[in-house]
Amino acid sequence: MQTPPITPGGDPNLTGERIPDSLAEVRSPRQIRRARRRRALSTFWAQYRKSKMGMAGLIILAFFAAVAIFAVLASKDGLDPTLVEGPRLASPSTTYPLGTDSFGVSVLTQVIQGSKISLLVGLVASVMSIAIGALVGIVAGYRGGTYDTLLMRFTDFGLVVPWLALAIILASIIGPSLITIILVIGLTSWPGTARLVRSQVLSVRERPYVERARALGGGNWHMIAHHVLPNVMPVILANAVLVVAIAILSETALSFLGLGDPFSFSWGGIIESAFNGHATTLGAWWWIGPPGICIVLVVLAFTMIGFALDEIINPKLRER
Amino acid sequence: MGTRGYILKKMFQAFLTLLAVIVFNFFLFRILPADPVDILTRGAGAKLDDAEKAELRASYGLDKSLFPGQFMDFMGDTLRGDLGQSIIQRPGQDVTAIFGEFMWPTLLLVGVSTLLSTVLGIFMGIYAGWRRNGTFDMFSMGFSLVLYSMPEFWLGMLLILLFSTTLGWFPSSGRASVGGAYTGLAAVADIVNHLFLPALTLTLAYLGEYYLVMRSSLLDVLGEDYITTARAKGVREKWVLRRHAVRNALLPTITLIALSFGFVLGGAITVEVVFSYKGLGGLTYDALQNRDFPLLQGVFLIASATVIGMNLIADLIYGYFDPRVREA
Amino acid sequence: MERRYGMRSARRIVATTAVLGMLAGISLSSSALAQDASSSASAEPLTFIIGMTNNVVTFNPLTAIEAPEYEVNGMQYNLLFGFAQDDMSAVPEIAAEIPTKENGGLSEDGMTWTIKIKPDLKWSDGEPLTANDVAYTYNLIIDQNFSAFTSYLPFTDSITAQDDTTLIWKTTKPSIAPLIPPWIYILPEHTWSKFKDKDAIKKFEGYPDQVTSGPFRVTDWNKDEDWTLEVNPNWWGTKPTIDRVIFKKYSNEETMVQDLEQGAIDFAESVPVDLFESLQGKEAQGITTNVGGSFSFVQMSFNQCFVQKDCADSSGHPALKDLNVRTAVAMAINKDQLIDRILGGYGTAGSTIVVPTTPFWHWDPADATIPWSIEDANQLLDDNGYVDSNGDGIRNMPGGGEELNFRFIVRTESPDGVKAGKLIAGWLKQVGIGTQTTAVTDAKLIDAWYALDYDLYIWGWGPDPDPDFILSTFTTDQCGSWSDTCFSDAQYDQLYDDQRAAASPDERAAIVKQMQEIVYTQIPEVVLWYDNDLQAYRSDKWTGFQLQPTPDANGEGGYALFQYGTYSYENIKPVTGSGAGSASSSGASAGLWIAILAVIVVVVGAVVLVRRRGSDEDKA
Repeated sequence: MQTPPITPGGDPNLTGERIPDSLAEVRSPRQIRRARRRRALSTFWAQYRKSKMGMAGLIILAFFAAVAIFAVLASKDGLDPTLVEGPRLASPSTTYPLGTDSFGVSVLTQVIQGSKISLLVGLVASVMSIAIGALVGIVAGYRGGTYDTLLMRFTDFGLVVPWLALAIILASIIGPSLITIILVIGLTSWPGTARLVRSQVLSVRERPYVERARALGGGNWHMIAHHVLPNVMPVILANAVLVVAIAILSETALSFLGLGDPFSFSWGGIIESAFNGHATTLGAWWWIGPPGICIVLVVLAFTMIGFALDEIINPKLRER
Repeated sequence: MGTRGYILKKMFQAFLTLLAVIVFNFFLFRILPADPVDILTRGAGAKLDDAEKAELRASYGLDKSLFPGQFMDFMGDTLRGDLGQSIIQRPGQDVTAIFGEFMWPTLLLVGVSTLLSTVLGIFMGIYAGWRRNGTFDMFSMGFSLVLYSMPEFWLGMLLILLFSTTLGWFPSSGRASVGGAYTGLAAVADIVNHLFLPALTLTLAYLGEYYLVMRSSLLDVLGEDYITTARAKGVREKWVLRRHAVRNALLPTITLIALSFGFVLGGAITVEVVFSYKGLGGLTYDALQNRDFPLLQGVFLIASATVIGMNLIADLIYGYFDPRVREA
Repeated sequence: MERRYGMRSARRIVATTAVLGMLAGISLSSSALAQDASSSASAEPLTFIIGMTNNVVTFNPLTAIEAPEYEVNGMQYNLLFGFAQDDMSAVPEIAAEIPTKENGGLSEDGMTWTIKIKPDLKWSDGEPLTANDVAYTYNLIIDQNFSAFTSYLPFTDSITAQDDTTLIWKTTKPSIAPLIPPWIYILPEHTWSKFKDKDAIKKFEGYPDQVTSGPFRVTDWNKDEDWTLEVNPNWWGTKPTIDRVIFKKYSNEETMVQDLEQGAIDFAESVPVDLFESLQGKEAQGITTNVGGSFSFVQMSFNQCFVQKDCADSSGHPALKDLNVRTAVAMAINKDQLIDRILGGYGTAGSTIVVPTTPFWHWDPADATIPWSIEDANQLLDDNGYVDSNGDGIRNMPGGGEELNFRFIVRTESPDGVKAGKLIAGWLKQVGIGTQTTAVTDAKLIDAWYALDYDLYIWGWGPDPDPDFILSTFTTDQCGSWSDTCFSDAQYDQLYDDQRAAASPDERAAIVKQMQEIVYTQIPEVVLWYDNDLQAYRSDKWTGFQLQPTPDANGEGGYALFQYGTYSYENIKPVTGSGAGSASSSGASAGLWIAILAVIVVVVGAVVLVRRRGSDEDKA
């Protein structure tokens, strides 16, 4: 997971919205915008539906979202250690479909409850990472000049900092908890997004209609909100999907290194306790396997969606 | 800008980044919750009088002001290659000396894995990219995506479960048999025997990524006009592939491999932990467990310096093979 | 499983080793080259190999802290009085006999001890070991203020050697200090007096060139890897059968257990419970498990810093002042379930701060045991006005004040402690007490503990066989240094001094039990469990282990090794015809990797070649 994110690179000039020609009827600008967006969305969906990979990713993700919602609603008694009566380290049976851990807690219950934390950490950390990355990228790209130079030096610096080493140090200073993990991932994974967004902003900034809007006296805020942001959004979103995948993997690695909250169940945390509970030597495959499979599936789902989005945004790939 | 200018500029940038990392390192470890000496002396505090504490403080240079005293000392020491001494892991031993000892096993592990995964990844990527949507492409794409989505330490645990616990073919941990039970060729065999599972884990972990990159950069190249032109001119397919496409697609791949090689330390941490492999990764984990801050500080610096160095190399490779970059 | 300073070190190891290391400026020479263990002389020495996961940092008896350091020093050096095999009571070691008033060893006023030393003892270099060495060592501790040991020499007026076999120890008031007994290894004056000051002593790593007196002596030390002890030719006691003992340091328990199973080691120390269970019933494969002694305990401490001088900064919850609340918390804890779930049953429910392994000193609460009862705990809190006044499920202080929400700290270093924390938090919830449970590193817990910024925490101790030290940690003076909780009780403090001046062991035991009763009923902390040290060894190769102390009816509770003395080392012998001592090969699968590697190389090579040829053909 030390890998730099595979960014849905692509040629920024080909992305962004294509304005349909058939907007002849006179409508209010808002109506026009809405119609345009609706149309863009349905075009997009039509394209997306063709991608088997993307659909498979969506289905997997929907499944885990359902599991997570179930986890929120379901009784947590299974995890209450004072109520645990199961045999220790039992292999799967009808009572415990995925066996039990060395404490006697059902692994299935843990995995279901773990979905909640893993997805939550992944999403929150990604939002944080993307927010920072997008902010840095937009400011650098839009303002240019000294801002750009400074912010990009800063970003370059962020890119070379080995995130796991930094994460370990930060976590050891702040102490292990969910917040730590979220902060650490958020603070270390934004530079990729920042670069991507900046290059997209640069290309948008030079487009004639944007230049015209600026000439007409659009303020910075107006420019960013109405012209820059809508145009870089697709790139940010496509990137976000991959950042979530990276964030979930990062959460797993940090939890595995013992930097997570030992009182909440995440998939990485379950693997950590399996490892420290000598599950490998004891052959307790039912303890090691399920949380890992869930991670692979969810990360795979996000990656596949990301690839599908990439193919739509970066149509060159479709040509061959 | 000429070639020399390009190289100088890149080297200067790398140096600046390195400086920034060192400065960052200084402050990172000054935002610790408390005075390091307090942390050190707590508990044992009962045994230390004020004079001893002061002595300890002075030995850390903590009696000086933060700036310029401590800062200049730190910068000077670091630039001279003095990373201080470990306080818990190997009390009193120079951090650089410890690195010197732990570096080789990690280089061996990561070197072998990178080599294997690069070769396999590139070949698979080329084949899959060329026969896009063929059986091999579909299969290897799925395989690579799954590998890419897999936490490498979990993969390592699965391999231990299979090859060590169940089949008993390979040792599940360590760098060699404990206590140096073998000599000569048997010792080498012992080391390789122990290397097998961690190296396999990392190879598979890297493989997915290298494959995906090679495949997509080949697809990029194949979409370029000159390839279409070459095809249109009736040049044989394999000739196109070999002569034009692969050569051009290799560049970004090699660059990426150089870049990711910079992150070896990070990637090796969890795998070394799973296999109790005593290299830099395992050292980092132990330093983390023991809160051996000078050692962690050193790890961070070395890890950053490696990335910066590999970045520089990647830039230089790119600049050398792709003149357009130099002009940019 | 640590012992003696073990848990103490678990608590403070971070700080202590760091400081010792720094002050000593120890420069370790890294000899990364692994030594070939089986490459020596033609007559193969009989070698016993021990695996463990703890490391050693020094073999200097005055700076040693960790359990394996104590194990090695116990093999290298001797005490004035050692610990009996059956119950760890004081027995003569360097001393010739236990001094009593009857044999003239103690003066009528109880302030002068005359201790006879065995004649004809020798150091490893052949020099005689006399009363002068004992006097030198004890005076060195006092003069140089080696504070980890000075508590063994309380009320000392003077310690002198009357002649080579007579030690005179005068105290300022009646004291049984010599019989506690001092856990201070006797050092050779003729070499140690050459150290110019305390710093020089602290810098000495106890190897090489150490002069020792015990049955074995360290002859080789590959730091962080292994260390070898060989029989001391000048040893004056029972000659061991084995010639050599090698300690191997493992970085994880799995490898250690696998190596035991493959016969690469003969003994595995401190096996985690789940792996231990996997080794049981393997006598036929030559492995015997031993549920060893129980000298450590894990406790949950309450912040009791209310009255002492440094307590102004304490942020302890006011409810913890109330014994009823502490009692309710103690009632809510199901100790049997803790042992069952966390220790796999290998432990004993905790009661007092003196381990039951030393029955002479241990006070058994028996009928006074606080029972596990959630209902009674709820009732007790209800009766004392701790009711949930705002309906949020958490009780409030009487009169609707502050909520009973406790900050509960457990150590990330101790997975067992974390599990216990989860269980206890669950039970407390059932009695309407909220907890904010956090898991932190030892260093952070030390911070919180010094800053008195906690309500509850879980930690452990590995006390001496003699109760003096662990009892001392509950005296008022110890607030801010060794005290877990800043517990303060005037009667207890008085009793602590009294037991040191008790006229006889029996009288002292009575006082010691009274002290335990005070701690048990005042509940500054709840002793959760006493855990057993789990050991396993190759019974197909070795026999003759001498368990200490005498195991219980189930054959449990005796240490096979890592004991208080060298009983096993002196008696271990090979099972006849077992081929013990020869390192068995575990490299059988070495060929396999070569084969697999070769296959990979061939496949990769073939692919390359085929592709080349293919494209070359195309070119042509």
